[in-house]
Parts: sequence; C-alpha cells; structure tokens
Amino acid sequence: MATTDLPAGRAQPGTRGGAGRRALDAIDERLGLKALQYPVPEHANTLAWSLGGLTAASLLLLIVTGLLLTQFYNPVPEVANQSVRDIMTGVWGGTFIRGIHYWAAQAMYVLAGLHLLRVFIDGSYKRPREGNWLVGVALFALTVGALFTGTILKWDQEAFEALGHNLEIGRALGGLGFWFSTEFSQNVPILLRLYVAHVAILPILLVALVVVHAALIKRHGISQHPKIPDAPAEPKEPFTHHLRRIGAFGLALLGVLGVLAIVRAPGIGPTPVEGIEVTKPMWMFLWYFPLEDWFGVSAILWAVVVLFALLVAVPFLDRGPERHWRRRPFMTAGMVVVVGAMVVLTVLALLGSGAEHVG
Amino acid sequence: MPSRSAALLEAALALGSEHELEPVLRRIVESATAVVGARYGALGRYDEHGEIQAFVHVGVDAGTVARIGRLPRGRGLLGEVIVARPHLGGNDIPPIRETSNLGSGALATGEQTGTNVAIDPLEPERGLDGGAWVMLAVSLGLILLGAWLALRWQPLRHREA
Repeated sequence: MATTDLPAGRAQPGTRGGAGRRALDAIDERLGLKALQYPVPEHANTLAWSLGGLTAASLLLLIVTGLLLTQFYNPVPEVANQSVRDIMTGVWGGTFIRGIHYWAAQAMYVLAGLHLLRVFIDGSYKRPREGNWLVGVALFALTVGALFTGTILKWDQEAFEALGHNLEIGRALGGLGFWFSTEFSQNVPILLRLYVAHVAILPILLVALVVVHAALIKRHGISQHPKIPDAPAEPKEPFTHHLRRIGAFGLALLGVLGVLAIVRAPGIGPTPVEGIEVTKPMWMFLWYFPLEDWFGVSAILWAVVVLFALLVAVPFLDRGPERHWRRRPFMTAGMVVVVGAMVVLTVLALLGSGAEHVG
Repeated sequence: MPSRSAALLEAALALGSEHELEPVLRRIVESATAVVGARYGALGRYDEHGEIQAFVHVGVDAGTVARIGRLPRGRGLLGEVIVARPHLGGNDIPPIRETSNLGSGALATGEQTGTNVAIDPLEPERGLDGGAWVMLAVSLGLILLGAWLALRWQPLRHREA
C-alpha cells in the first residue's frame, strides 16, 4: 500500500492508534467523517438532551424490524390477521421481532413526547429555532400516524374498530377526508392503502424530516442551557461524543425492548366482527375515548386538531427572551393543563369498559 | 387427518339432510370450527347487494351474544370485505387456516354466497424456551453494556440530575 500517497499530516505507521487509526484516516479521507467532530456544548451529552437522538434510534430499530416483518405480513384483508399469527407461530424469531417492533413504536412515541417536553421546558424553540420546532411537531404527527396505521395492520377487532373511527372521522372531514374512505380506490382495499402508508409514505416523510431536523440543529447549533448563563464559557465536546453517548443509551434501550419483547410479547385479538365495539385502543389513543363518549366521534378530530394547533402556536405565542420555565409561567401552566388533561382522560378511559363506550 | 375428514363428511351430509337454511349453515359452522379447532365460528350468507341475510354463530354463550347486541348486517367493513372479494379472483379465495380467519369464501354452485368468520385470539407463549432465555440474557447484557458505556462517556461535569 502506498502510504506515501497520503496527504501531509495523515497518521503514519508507528503513530498512536496504529492500523486502526490509519483505517479511520483512510475512511475519513474519502467520506469526511471527521467533519462530525465539530464542538457542541457539554450539556448536549446529558440524557435529557439526548432524547431526540434516542427517538431517532427507535426509528432505526423500527425500520430494521419493519423490513423483516414486511417479508411475512400480508396486507390483503382476508389473510392479514392470519399472516400476523403465522409470524408469531411459524416464523423463526417472529414473535421476538414483532415484539421489538411493537415496543420500539411505543418507545419512539414516549421518547418523542419527552423530547418535545424537554424542548418546551427549556424554551429551546425560541428564535431562531421556531422553524425546527414546527419540523419537530410534524415529526410527532407522523409518529402518531405511523403508530395508528400500525395498530390497524394486525386486523383484529381492535384494529377494525379503530379503522371504523378513522372512516367516521374521514366522513366528518367532508371533502378533506377523501383519502380515509373505502370508496377512494375501487381496486385497492383501504387496509392495503394504510399498509402502503405505514411502510412507505410515513417512513419516507419521517426520514426526510429527520434529516431536515438534524440539518437545522447543525445550522443553529445546540441551544443554550437555560441554567448555564455563560454559554461561551461552557466546556465543549466533539459532536461524535454526543453520538457515541446516544449509541450507549441506544444499546440499553435495545436491551429493554428485548426484555419487553420476551416477557410481554404482543398478542393478537380475534378476527374482526362488524357492528360491535368491545375493545380499547392502545394507551396513547385512550385520551380520545371519554371525549367521544361525551361529544361524539367528531370530538376525536377536534381534540387532535386543537392539540397540534397549540403545538404549532407555541413559538408564536412565546416570543420573549426568557428560557427558564419558571420565568414563563403562562406557557408552563398551559403545558401542565394540556398534559394533565391528557393524563386524566387516559385514566378515565382505563377505568371504563370498552363495551360501555359509545361507538 | 381422519377427524377432519369425518367433520368434512358430516358437513357434506348436513347439506343433504337439512331442508331449512339456518340449520344447514349452523351444521357447516359447527363442522368448520371442529375442523380447524376454533372456539368460535360464524357464517354469514349475503344477497346480491352484499347485505347479510343470515348470520349464524357457534361457541358464543347467550350472555355474550346479548352484550354484543345486533348481528352484523354487512354494512360496515365486513361488507367491504364482501365487496372487495371479486378483486381477488375466484380461485384466490383463501382456505380457513389455523383458528382464525375473516371472510374466507363459502362457495355454492361455483359462486361465492357467504363469508366465514372464525374467531380466536392468539396470545404468545408465556413460558420461556431455550432460545428465549438466550435472548433475555443478551438483552439484559445490552442494558448493562449500554448503561456502563453511558456512564463512562458522560460529560465531565455531568448534570443528569
């Protein structure tokens, strides 16, 4: 090998690191990976400020396990439920892979929610990061959409009833709900279209927006910690240290998901029967449940619209320079009310039975 | 399998020995659930508009039937399955497999006139076999490794608290 071809300054034989270092240098020369070593403030490496990276790690796990599941899942309505059963009973490691996918989806929702709360509490959405906050809200909406379509795909009674609500909301939207209609395509069942959304449309949009999200973080830098007033004096670390710490947290996350996939593997409900409503949705959708009881199915639509309208409005409502949550009492109170309402509604839904629920 | 053959033979005989529709459908469902080992089963017969005219079910006790309420009429997504079926093609209609199937075709005189519904939730095995123990050990190892690395790589002046 002609090491003499290397540019000046490149590691030479005998220098610290040896062959491994030379290999890294060779890769860097071609891919420019050392550009990732730009400095970021030290607080970026704390767990709270790594939640976004962990959300992305969950997405990666979902893509990998999802690719495996697509080899065995059949979205044709007549056999969809059976194909999930076959994954559980006839595919080697199928229950485990499905379990990882099932728990990683919930982990992504929780981590994205916690990341959103962290950004909110620290006021990280303030100028010039308003645009990236909106990208993050869009990512959260896409995550909810992916979760919802994922619950439909197993095509059991719960999925069937959730889709029934979806179709009703589609009708409530009038012309705007055209896609959520069984009449939209004459030749493709709606389950198949939701499958396409779940495995192609939503992941493509998610990955594209994650790239935009990361690019804007790079553009604006990691936001200042509200409890560290002297930002320039804060020690800096290479961004690669942030990545490796996310990798460490990600390994632990994968381990937790693996344990859950084994000790709490997801089952599948009975094949759907029309005209009854006896199931409850997954926990993150439960807060709609009492609202539907009180105000009808259109309340689900309005609840979602109001929640995301509030999230979109956040950077426009709070434009002051204050970052600490105690010095932003109205925003903090608003967040407590919204999150508290969602928790209370979820508890109410947990206490009631699915059969008593109006449908 | 002799028991399946016997159940299928019984179903065939039922068609010839009954003269009312509902008893015939019930015998078919009973035989079908016996063949596949399902706890519950149902069969709907629908008209040319896709509306279910007869819906018989077995294996569900009276109290549950009362709680469920009215029977399916084919106006919802089950109806969609019926309507969507022509797109599959007559020979693509899947057979009943395992213990669960929605909307497998019931054929009479070469035309599909009904829809089978056999119900049984499937829970994964709760007992851990050898492979599961290995994966559990690997997962616990990943948690420990990840936690150790995260602690090792935490910021010098960490502020996790």
